[in-house]
Amino acid sequence: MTTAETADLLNLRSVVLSNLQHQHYWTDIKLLDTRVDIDEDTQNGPLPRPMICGRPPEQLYNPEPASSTNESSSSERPPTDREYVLPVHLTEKLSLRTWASVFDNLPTPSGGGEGDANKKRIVVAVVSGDSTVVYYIMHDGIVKPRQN
Amino acid sequence: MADTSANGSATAATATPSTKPPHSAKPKRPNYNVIHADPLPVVLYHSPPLIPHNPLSLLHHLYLYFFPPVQSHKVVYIGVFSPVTMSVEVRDPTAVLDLWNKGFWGKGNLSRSEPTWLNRELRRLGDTQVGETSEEITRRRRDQRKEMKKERARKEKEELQKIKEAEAKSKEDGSAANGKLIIADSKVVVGIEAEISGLDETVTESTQPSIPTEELGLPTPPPSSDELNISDAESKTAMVNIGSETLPVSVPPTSKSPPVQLAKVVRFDNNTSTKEIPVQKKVTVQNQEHLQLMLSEAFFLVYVLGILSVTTADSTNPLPLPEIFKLFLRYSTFPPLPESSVSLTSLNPDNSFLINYVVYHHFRSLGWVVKSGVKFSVDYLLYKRGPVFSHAEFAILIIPSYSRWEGREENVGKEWYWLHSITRVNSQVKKTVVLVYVDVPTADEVKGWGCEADGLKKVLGKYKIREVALRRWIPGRNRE
Repeated sequence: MTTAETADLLNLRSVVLSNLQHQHYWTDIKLLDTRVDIDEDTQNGPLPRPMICGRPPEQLYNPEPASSTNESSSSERPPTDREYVLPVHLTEKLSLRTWASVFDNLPTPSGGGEGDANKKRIVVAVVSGDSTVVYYIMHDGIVKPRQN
Repeated sequence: MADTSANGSATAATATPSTKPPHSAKPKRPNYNVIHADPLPVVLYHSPPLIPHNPLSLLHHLYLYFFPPVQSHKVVYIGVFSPVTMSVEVRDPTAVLDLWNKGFWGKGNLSRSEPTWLNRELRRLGDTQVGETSEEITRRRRDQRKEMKKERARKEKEELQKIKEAEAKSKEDGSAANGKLIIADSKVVVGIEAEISGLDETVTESTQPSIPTEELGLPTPPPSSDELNISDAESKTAMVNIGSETLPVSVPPTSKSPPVQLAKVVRFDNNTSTKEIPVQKKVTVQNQEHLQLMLSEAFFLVYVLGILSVTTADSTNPLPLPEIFKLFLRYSTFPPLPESSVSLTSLNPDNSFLINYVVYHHFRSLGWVVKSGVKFSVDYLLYKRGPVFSHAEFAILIIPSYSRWEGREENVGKEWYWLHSITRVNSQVKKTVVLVYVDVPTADEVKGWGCEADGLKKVLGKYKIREVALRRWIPGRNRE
């Protein structure tokens, strides 16, 4: 299999971008090519693929939903965590090396919390031919599962 | 088991017709039988059967012969092939509506299935003249579920709190008999204390009816001491020692407090504010959505029904069928194959577009509405009449079979776990997994297609399809 060209990857990203913007109402969206240019970061190397970062309307990973919602319902809600989205296509095969390199080159969450909140996390956007984008949350390690 | 319980609840609901009135408040559903009356976007004329000795039937056919049904033009929809989405996009509103209503073709790229983005956006911006979309209904249901879960989590924490209190109290009483048991439990409680201490405030405020701790099979203090404690404690808060830590434990109100109402917060974004304004509001939004046809769908519409013409973004001239075929072969995988690697004279029979299309063609021809099954980790979903009428009954898993190929191993890399997880996912949503084996012809069998007029038909005829329906059998449950 041939390796994906940059143009193809950018096409893929534009599909995910429009989906995030118009279907899921993400805000504060930035396109990331090779560099994660927020603040003065200490990035190990270039990102292996073009990515997107933005804020979802609601917190994606929240192991303690009950306690946090009590605070937020009264006053203005704090902005949700910045998420990093990796667009991939349903028919492509990704190597473990690619995943590892994505995680390696992402900044550690700025929340500064202990444990799970500090784990690196990406949102994998799987694009399929009928325009469905399936999202998966992927953590760099084991985290406490979300309560159902 | 699940079936019987579902049936049981259904009969119970019908047995009590007195609970009907609240249902009438619901907005009426559109009549899908009328909207989706045509199974395909083609116009058909029915003529009665021709019976040679019956002059009346002959007359009808003669009439049709001399005065053919008026059809001013053959309706051909225009789809644009997009290398960005690797699919065919339809943007003309009438074409989108026709293709969706007559056979459920395609999917709105910003919607779950039917293209409703524009309506959703209009409603979001406060237009009052647009009806509710299915996405909004789902959203509301999910919000309600979320509230329910929140409530449940809160209750669980409250229960924990109660247990802790009870234990603390009985420890205070210093009952020597069950002292050991309580110590063992309090260790567990201390582990979760961080969570509870954060919630103390909310717990004291709530009017939640207390749940008897007996339900949880945990030691309870004698009721007399409980009452005594409440009457004694003026502040309704007692400081109790558990182990080395000191934490405030609130005394809940007596069990006679009224049951709390489940707070169902239904948010309609901006709609709540606009509803107060009696003036009808009209908003204009640029439609960002298109109807996206899978490659297989688009090819079926072009090749079998002949009601779609595919163009590229560069020109308005419709592409000839071989060009479309070639394009689809190239864009069936990511990254797309280079143009040089795909040729119609030496076709690769193992191309994923060909295999997917053969299966799509097979089931569409049998009258099923075939949709993508990516959300259920399968290749296709089969709907009997369409997604608005019923859930998909069958989940299609395509397995190419290379029995005619020499020296090629069958189905390498698929493990039993893979199949098992797929069947489990699909039995959760009451779908039957169907393994569709596609016998892939060898490269020699499909050689030299470009020369013949009906070559594609011959190529597709070389593929054989075998279906195997799969169902998990549970010996204890399915005895019959």
